[in-house]
Order: sequence, then C-alpha cells, then structure tokens
Amino acid sequence: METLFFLIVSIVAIASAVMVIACRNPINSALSLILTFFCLATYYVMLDAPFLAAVQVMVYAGAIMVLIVFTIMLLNIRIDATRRHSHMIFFGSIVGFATLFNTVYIVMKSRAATPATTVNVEALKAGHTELIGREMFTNFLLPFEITSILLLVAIVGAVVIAKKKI
Amino acid sequence: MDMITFPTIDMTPILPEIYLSLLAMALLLINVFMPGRQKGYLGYISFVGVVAIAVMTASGWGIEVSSFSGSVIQDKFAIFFKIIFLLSAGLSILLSDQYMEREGCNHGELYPLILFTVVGMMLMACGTDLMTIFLGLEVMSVSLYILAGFNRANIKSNESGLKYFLLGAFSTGFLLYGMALTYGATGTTRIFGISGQLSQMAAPAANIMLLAGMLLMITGFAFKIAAAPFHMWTPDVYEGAPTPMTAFMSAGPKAAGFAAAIRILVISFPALQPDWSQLFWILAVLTMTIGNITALRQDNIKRMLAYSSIAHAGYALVGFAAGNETGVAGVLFYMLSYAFMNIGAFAIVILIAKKGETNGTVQDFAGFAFKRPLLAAVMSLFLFSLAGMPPTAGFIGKFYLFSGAVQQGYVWLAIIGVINSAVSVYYYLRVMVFMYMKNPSEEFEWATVTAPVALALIISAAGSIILGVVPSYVMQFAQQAAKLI
Amino acid sequence: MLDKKNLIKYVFDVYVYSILVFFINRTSRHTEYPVETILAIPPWRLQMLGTYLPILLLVIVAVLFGFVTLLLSSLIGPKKSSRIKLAPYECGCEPVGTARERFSIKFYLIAMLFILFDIEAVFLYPWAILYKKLGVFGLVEMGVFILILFVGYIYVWKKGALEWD
Repeated sequence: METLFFLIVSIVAIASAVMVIACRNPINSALSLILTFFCLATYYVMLDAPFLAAVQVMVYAGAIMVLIVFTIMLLNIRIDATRRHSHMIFFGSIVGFATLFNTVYIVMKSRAATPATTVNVEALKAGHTELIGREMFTNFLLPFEITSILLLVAIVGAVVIAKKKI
Repeated sequence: MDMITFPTIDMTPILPEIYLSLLAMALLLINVFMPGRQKGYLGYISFVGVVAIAVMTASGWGIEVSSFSGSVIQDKFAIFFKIIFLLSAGLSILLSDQYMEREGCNHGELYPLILFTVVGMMLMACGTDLMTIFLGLEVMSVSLYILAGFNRANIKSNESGLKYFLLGAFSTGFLLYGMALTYGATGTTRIFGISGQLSQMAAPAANIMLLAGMLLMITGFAFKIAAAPFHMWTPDVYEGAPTPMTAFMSAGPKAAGFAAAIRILVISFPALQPDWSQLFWILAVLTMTIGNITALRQDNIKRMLAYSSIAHAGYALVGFAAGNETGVAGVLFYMLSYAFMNIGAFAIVILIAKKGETNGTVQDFAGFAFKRPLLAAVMSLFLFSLAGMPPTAGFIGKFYLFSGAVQQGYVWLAIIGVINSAVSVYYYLRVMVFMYMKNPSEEFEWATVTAPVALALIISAAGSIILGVVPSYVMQFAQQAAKLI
Repeated sequence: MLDKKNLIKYVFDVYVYSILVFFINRTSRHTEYPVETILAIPPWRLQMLGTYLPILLLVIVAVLFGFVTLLLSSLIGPKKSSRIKLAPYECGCEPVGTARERFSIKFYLIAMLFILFDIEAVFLYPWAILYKKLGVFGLVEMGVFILILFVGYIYVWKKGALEWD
C-alpha cells in the first residue's frame, strides 16, 4: 500500500515538475512548482520527517514562491521572448541528466558498500522535531546562533540593494 | 531521551567574532538613529574597533581552546588567519571613506557589512565543524555580494554584485553538496570526527560517496579562492566592485577560503592526501598559467590586478599542494604579505581613478612619477612585491611556497611556478614603464591623499618591506601556526 | 477539453484522492523498520500519523469548497457575455492599458524581508517543542537569537523600509 501511495505521489510530483518547465506562462509554472513542493512535503511526512515537511510548506511553498511570483511579475517577460533561449534546453538537459546519473550512481554504489543500518526506534519515538531541537541546542548551538547573524546580514542586504532611497 | 545535557560553553575561541558582531550591530543602529548623510565617522569607529580586536585576538596566541562541543577551536592557525582578516578589513576601511565620498555613495551600511564579512571569515578559520565553516562562509559571501554591488549608481557595480551572487550561490551549492555527502559517508560533521572515521575505514579511497564529497568541497573552495578553471567570475566582479571592496575581496576572503580548505583537507582527509595533493598540483598549474597569461593582455588596471590575483592564488596553491608544514606555513605567510601589497596597489588605483570609476587604465598612469614621485615609488614597491622581486614580501613568500613544493618532491611544480613568476614581471613592469617613462597628459588633476588613505599606504608599504627584509620574525609565527596536527 | 488549466486541476484531484487512499489504508501498512521485531505498525507511529488527519481534512474541504463554488456558479449562473462585461473590472472605470504591468521593486523588498523573518519562525519551532526541557538555557540562547534579529528589525523600521515611499 505504501508503495502504491508513493507511486501516486511520485507521478504527481514528476507531472507537476514537468509542467513547471513546459508551461508557456511563467505564472503557471510557478503554480505547478507549488504542487511539486507539496509532493515533496508528503514525502517528508512518509519518511517521518514532519519538521522538514513543515519547513517545505512554510518556507518553500509559502515564502519563496511569493518571491518567485513577484520576480516574474517584476521582470514581466513577454512569452515570445522566452522562445529565443530555447537552445539552452539542450545544455540544461545534459547537466540535469548528468546530475541525476551522478546521484543515482553514488547512492547505489555506497548503498552496496554499507550494510543496511537498523533504525533507532527510540529516536523515532521521540519525534523528529524534538531531535532537531536537541541537536540545535547542544551539538549545533554555535551554528544556530550564527544563523541569526546570517539572517541579519541578509536583512541589511535586502534593504541596501532593493530600497529606493537609502 | 529525557534529560538534555547542555554543552559547557567557553566563549574564548569566538570572542573576537562576538565583539565584532556587537560592534557591527551598534554601528547599524548608530547609522539609523543619527541624522545626516555624512557617515564617515562610522569608518573611524570601526577602524579603532578592528585594531582593538586585532590586539585582543593576538593576545590569545599560544592558548589552545576547543569549545561548543568541538564546533570551534582557538589555535595558532586560526589566530594567524584572523589577524590577516582584520588587517585586510582595517586597510579597506581606511580606503573606503575617500572613495565613497568621491562616488557619492551613502555608505553608512558599508562598515557594518565589512565587519560582518570578517566575522564570517573568522568562523571559517576557527571552525572545526562543517556546519560552522559553512555558515561562516555564507555570512562572508552574503556580505560580499552586497559589498560588490554597493555602488548602486554605477551599472558595473550592479553587474558585479549580481554576477558574484549567482556564481557564488552556485559554488556554495557545490560546497554544501560535498559536505552533505561527506556527512553521509562518515556520519559526522566534526572535522576531527571525520578523520577518525576515515582511519577506521579499510579503503577510504574506494568509498565513492566520500570521494565525491571531497571533490565537491574542493570545487566549492576553488570557486571562493578563484582558482582556474573556476575563476571566470573574478575579473568582472573585481572590475565592477567598488575599488576598496575589490582590495578587500582579493585579500580577505581568498585567505579565508584557504584557511577553511586547509583545515578540512589536512585534518579530515590525511588518508586521501595523495589524491587531493595531485588535484591541487593541476589546479595550481592551471591557475598560475591562466592568470598570468590573461593578465598580459589587460589594459584596465583593476582587471589586470584581478587576473594577477588569480595567479597569486595559484602560487599559494603550490604550497597547498605540497601539503607539508613548510608549504602550509608558506601559504600563511603569503596570504599575509599579499594582503599588504595588493591592498596597497589598489589604494593607488583609487587615487588615480576619478568619479564614476573612469580613468582606470594602465595608460592613465602615464607620467605619474613626475607629478607624484613619492606615490609612484610606493606603487613601484607594491608592484615589485607582487612580481616577487627581492627584497620584498612577495619574494620571500614565493620562496617559502616553492621550497615547500620542492621538499615534497614536486620539483616541476616549483619550476612552473618560477617561470610563471617571470612572466608576471612583464605586466607589472608595464605599469612602471608608464609611470616613469611616459609624459603625463596635460589637463590631469591628481586627487589629494587624505589622512586615512595615507595611513593605509604607510601600513601596507611598511608591511611589504618589513616582511621582505626581516621575514624570520613573522615566519616563525607562521611555522608554529602551520603545525595543525 | 484537457488543456493545461484543466490538467492542473485534474492532477491536483488525483493528488488529494491519493492522500485519502493513503490514510484509509494506513492501518494495513507494513512498516519498513526492523522487520524482525515489529511486524505491524507500532501504535506510536499510528498515533503520530493520525495527527495529520485534520490537515488532510482541511485540504479536502478547502479544495472541495473551491471546486464546488466554481462549479455551481458556472452551472447555475446565467452567462450572457458581452465585450464590456468581459473587460477587467477596474472600479467601474474604463480599463487603461494592459493588466500585465511590471510590478514595483518595492514588493520585492517586502517579500524578501518576509522570507527572512519566516526563517526565523522556523527556528522557533523545535525550540517550542522542547521548551520545558530546555528551560532557562534554551530561553537565553533563543533570546540571543531573537535579539540579533531584533536589531535587524529596528534597522529596517528606522530605515523606513516598511513604509511605502
């Protein structure tokens, strides 16, 4: 049953991903991308990673999509203008397939090399989000605090670059 | 899974970062709460702060502390690099005021951003965890993207910021992917932990995931230090960015890239040293050759210095490829001397150029020596040092780098390096030919040298000479710092 | 019939339906975790996944509501379209120019600031779950985190980036 569900979600994910690059109107592409993100979120739930699923919906399907849609509206590319760059599809697909092949190869190869590890059921019971919280406040306390500096720099940067009068 | 044991926190390794962040945040707030558009005084505050923090950082020499459960470390290696970063930041801050006033930029945010860049670079140098190093690199890069595009009125600066951002984000992706694969192969992000895992593996070189991770990380760092064939962004970004920021970018972040790459490869991947050493051999040759040969054809002085900076990254890679203590010490020494001589050269470029970044070709140096003999002499000193002539800092640095390579048995690499160094003399001397042997154009007005720029010139000139004449004093620190394991 | 717009709707339908199937069959699902020890789904896992049921219901209701209203209005409502009726509504005035105007960069700045503070919220999440166990330590660390971003907030505010200039 799980396999069937996985297959259905995968088909939706791939179909919507194809729509992203096949749509003529960039706004439609962006909307299809939201669907792709939702499918990814479903995968995360199936992998017992609800935190990632929440982040996927909140940050990607929410905030980043807003930015992408705004960008499309800001640039407002005429549909005929997109035609001119269609030769890039060739190079893009080469890079895409190379990356795909690369990833599959690495995963297959290292999967054969290392024996299947047993899942720590106790850890799963505690909950994914709680585990992240634990790591964040113990082993990765410093990276967590640095993140705030990174966000602060990004805030300043957004204002400096995009504000009309500074 | 009930109680959480919190790590004991020792702030010592990141005290400089904390103070710098506090200073930067204070400057941000002063910037918005104080009226007026003249924000030059922020530069003075930040310069004083940088000097004070440099003194504080240096006083930690010899005290080795690891903290945040192995996320950061304070050792001589980190402190040496931190001093380089603070030096390049301090010099660039001194150069900024005059430049920004000339270009008519509102530069209140410039100084906090420079300080944040230094925070990121410092975390790269003292981080012993891939996450810390990555976040440090991101803090540094994001600030640099903004600094490159800071002169919003100038279209070239905008282009520079955008290009840097796109390619930089791409390279960060490589780096992060590499770190993820390394984590997948070893199960830890602590760089000491990785080396421990590697020593337990039967044949780490056969582990594809680990190798791919290392290769991708090297690619990411090669982007950051502008090594060929990942150098394409450098000339455009360096040319368009505000000149003081170009100077900063060529000295500080390059050193930070070397710091993080050396720490990760030398500590985590000693088992794979034959592999990455060969890789750096090729990278070094490519970088030196492409940088120098392309620089021969450049008329724009900033582009020329950009290609020269690629070539210099190549020289430093020679020491890195050697991977022994002499080589690493050579990299440390070279990065320090490069900060002095390159920022000094850019200071002169700032004085020659005019509003809107015009007047920036080699031909515009014509007759400089007749109008301003002292400045021309200082510029000649920097150019000599960049070309690697004795008795300047550049010569000694190259000497240590190449001798490290010879020690490791890479004689051919050292020979290629020396040949490249000889090639580079041509384009440095070309500037001097224009300065000393051509007549100045009549209507030209030379910019006045303000006190901060004069101070920056004095510091960098003094550094270039002192490191060249009495190198042993600094070199002993570099050699201590290079004892990583 | 099956043009792109309809395809999106169709794909979305399939998606929602598949989620439904997944949750109905949840009980008979075999786990992939250490098979020797656990043959059926452990109760804690069922309980965990059960918490997604309200979300699923919400999604279904939302989608159905949208579809049903559109469907009903297209079925029941009279359709007498004329040129003026089909024109975009612009407060009753004559429409001027194209609807595909370029957006101002101002929106972009707001969107970027939104993303940054959104990511801040993501970090609050694990902290909130562990709030009691982390105690004062967590509070202080989170306080530092928020304080640094608060500096950014003050900066943005005083800079006037939140105003519509």
